[in-house]
Amino acid sequence: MSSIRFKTLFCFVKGKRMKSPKSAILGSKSRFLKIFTKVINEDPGNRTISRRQLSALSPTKPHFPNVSEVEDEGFFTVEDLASRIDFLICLPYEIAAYILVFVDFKTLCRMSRVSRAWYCISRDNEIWRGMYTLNEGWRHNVPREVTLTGEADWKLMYKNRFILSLRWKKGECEKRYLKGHLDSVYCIQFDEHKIVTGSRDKTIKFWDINTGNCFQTLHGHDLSVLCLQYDNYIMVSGSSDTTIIVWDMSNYNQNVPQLRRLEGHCAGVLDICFDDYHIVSCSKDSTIKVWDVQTGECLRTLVGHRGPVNAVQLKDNRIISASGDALIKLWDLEEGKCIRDFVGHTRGLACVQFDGKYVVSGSNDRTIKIWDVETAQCMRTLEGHTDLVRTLHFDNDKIVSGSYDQTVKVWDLKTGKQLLDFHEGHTSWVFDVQFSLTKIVSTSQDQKILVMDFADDLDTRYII
Amino acid sequence: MSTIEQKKVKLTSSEGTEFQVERSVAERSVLLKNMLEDVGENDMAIPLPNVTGPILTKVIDYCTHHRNDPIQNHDDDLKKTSEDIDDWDAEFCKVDQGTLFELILAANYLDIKPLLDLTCKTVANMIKNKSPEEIRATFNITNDFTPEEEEQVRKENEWCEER
Repeated sequence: MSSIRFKTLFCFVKGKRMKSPKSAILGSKSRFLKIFTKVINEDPGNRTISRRQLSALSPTKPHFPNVSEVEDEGFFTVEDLASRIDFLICLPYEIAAYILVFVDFKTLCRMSRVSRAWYCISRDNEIWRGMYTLNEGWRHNVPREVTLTGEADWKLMYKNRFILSLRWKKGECEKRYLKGHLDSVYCIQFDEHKIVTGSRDKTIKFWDINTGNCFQTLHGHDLSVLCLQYDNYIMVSGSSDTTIIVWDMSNYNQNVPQLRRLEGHCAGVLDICFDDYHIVSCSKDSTIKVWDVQTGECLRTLVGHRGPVNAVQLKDNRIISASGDALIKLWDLEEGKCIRDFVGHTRGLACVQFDGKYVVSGSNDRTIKIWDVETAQCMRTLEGHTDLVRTLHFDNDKIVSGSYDQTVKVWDLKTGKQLLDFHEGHTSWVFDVQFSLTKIVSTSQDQKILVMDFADDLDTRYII
Repeated sequence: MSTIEQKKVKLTSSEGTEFQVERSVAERSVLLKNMLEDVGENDMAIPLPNVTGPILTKVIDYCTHHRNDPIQNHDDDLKKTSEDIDDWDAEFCKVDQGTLFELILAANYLDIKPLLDLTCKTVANMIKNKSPEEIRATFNITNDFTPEEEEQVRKENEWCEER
C-alpha cells in the first residue's frame, strides 16, 4: 500500500503545485528542512521519511486515497474513507509542525506511536522546547553552545522535569543517610556539589553530595556549631562558644582556613546570615549584631527582643528576627531600629525566613505562620506538626518544615495545604532542613543527615 | 471614507471564476492587503491560481464574518490552546477533511493568521484525547512500525500516561 500511495503523491508533486509566496505565514522552511534532512540522512532506508520530505519540499494538493488503496476495507464503516487525509504528512512540514503547537505533551507522546513519520514530526525539538518553557516554574540553564549544536534533547528534558514534578507530588524519593558526626547535627547548607553541616561535636563537615563521602572536617569552635552560611568566597559559622568564625571557602576542596573570629555576643550565637556587605547574627543574649563583612567590625547592636533570638534573616536592607519572646521583628539595617512587630504566635519562635514579600515562621505553638511583611498581618496558619516547629525553608511554591515531632513536612505556600509528610526519616528532633529542586536534606539530634533525592536516575543537568 | 470602504475588489479563483468582495473583507488577507497597497486604484481582478472556487467561497465567508475583528497581537509567547474556538468558527470548520486541508493551505498562502490558527486548532482537536489506534483510524494512517519498534516507542512514551 505504501508504494501505491507513494506513487500517487509523486504524481501530485510533478503536477500542478502550490508555490509558497514569500508572504505566507509559515514560509521559512529552512530550519525544519534542516532538521528533517538530518533525520533522512541518518536513516536513508526510511521510506516514510522520503515521502514526508517530498511533501515538505513541495506543498501539494491533498492526497485522496482511492478506496481500492485501503487494505482493510472493513475497518471504517461510518465515514467516507475518501475524505480522510494524513494531515501531518500531506501538509508542508512547517504547517504540520504548527498544528502540534496546539496540542499538549501527552498528545505529542501518543502521536509518536502512530507511525514512523508521526514519530519523527512529534519529536520536533523546537516544539518540545516551547512546550518546556511554557510550563510555569520550569526553568533551565542549557548553555548557548549546546543550544547551537542542537544537542539539547528537549523531549527528554521535558520527560525528566515531568517525572521530577510527579515524584515531588507523590513524595517518591531515594533516601540516604550521611553518618560521621558524633553528636546532634544542628545546621546545614548544600549545593549541587556538596553538603556542609555543623554539629554539637564542635566540627563542621563537608560531604560530597553525589558519593556521600565526608571530605573535610573543620575544627575551630570550642562548643556546638549551631548555625552556618556559605557562598563561593566565605563561610560564616556561629557557636555556643559565643563566637562567629569567618572561613575562606575559595579553595574548599583543599583547605578552609579561618579568616577571622568575631567576638561580642555574651551567649551562644543561634543564627547568622550575610550578604555582600554585612553579617547579621542573633544570640541567646537577646541581641542582634550587625558586622562589617570585610573588616569584621561590629557596626551596631539591635536591642528589643525580650528573650533569646533564635533566627535571623537579611534581605536587602531589612532584617527579620524571631525570638523566644513569641515575637517576630522587622528591623532597618542601617538605622538599627525596629520597624514593626508581628504578633500572633502564642509561644516562642524557633525559625523564620523572609523573601522580601512573605515572612514564614515556625513556633513552639506547633504552627507555621505566613505573614505579609508590609502589613505584619498573619495571612495563614498551617497546622499539622505536633511539636515545636524547629526549622523551615520556602521558595515560590512550597514550604518544607522540620519539627521536634521528628517529621519533615512539605506545604503549598499559596494554599497552605500539607502536601507531604515524612515521618520515618529521623528518630529524634529535626534541627535543620534545606531543599533544592531535586532534594530535601535534613539534620537531626539522631546525629544523622538525611538526603531525600527526588531526581534519582534522572538527568537533571540543564534543569534548574 | 465610505467610498473607499465600499470599493469592491475582484478576485479570480483557480478555475477562473470571478469573485467580488469589499476591500475591508479582502484585507483580512495580509497577502491581498499588501498587493492592494502595491497596485493602488485598479479594476483588474487579482488571480489566485492556488485557491479553488469552493475554497475561496469559504475563505470569503470567514473574512466577511470576521471583517471587524481587531488585528491580532503578537502572541507567540503565550500558551497556545485549541480550546478557545467560538460557535461560529466551530460551525465553519464542520467540513470534510479535504476541505479543511485546502483551507489550511489557503489560509497560509493568503496569510490569514486567525484562519490558519482556527483550521490548525481544528486538526489538533481531531488528534487530542485519542489513542494511537484512534488517531490512525481518524486519518486513515497505516501503522508502519515493526512490532519491535512499536513496543519500543510505546515504552519510550510510557511516562506521559503517569499521573
